[in-house]
Amino acid sequence: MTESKTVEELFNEYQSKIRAYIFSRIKNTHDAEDLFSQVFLKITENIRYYDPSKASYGTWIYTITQNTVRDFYRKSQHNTDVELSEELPLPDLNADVEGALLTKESLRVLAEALNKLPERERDIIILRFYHGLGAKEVAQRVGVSYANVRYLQSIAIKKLHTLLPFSV
Amino acid sequence: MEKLLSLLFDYQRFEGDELLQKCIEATQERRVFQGVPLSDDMLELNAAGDPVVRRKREESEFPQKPND
Repeated sequence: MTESKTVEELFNEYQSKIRAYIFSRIKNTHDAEDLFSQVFLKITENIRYYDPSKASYGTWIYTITQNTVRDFYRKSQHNTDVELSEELPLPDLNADVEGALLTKESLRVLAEALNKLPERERDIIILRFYHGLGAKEVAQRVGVSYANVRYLQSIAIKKLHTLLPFSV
Repeated sequence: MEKLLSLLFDYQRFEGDELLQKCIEATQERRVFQGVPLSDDMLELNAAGDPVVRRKREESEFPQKPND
């Protein structure tokens, strides 16, 4: 059974992770600090609804943080004064399906799988899915043609299918 | 799989696994910060799709004759 935690305990445990996530997504320091406060306000207001049978504290807080950034992106679409760190697509989170995969262990398994790929394929996967670059920009970064990026990406994904135990 | 990768990499921004971070930073150093692009000329793949490293051509003013 998961031990209940107070907001103060969650603040001490997760503040650096929340901060790191927000600052990787939002360029403007003032906006990022504002979002950080919003996340903890939401945690404070909703902790009584937290259900440990559905998600770990980490996944629950990550989801709140991601949704807060998503809302900010949405509201900022028509506000040209707002600076976003990068135009990174935010993945949709189906908490029932993928939430269980959001663990440190999954990240470790992904890292080990990536390390088994040839360097160029690994770079293409990271540039595409971590940095959110389009295939054309990846082609420029890696120095191969657009068609080859698509080809190498498909090969790398096939390999990851076999290397990752949790392919969906 | 693409969606899963996007999700896991996004979660990495929050969780910060050390080994995965090293992979990401190594790619950044190669492709983003310093930019050491590989040329299309070097892109040769074997039947398994793995890159085949070609020997660097010797600088010569004469074109090399193909081996008989």
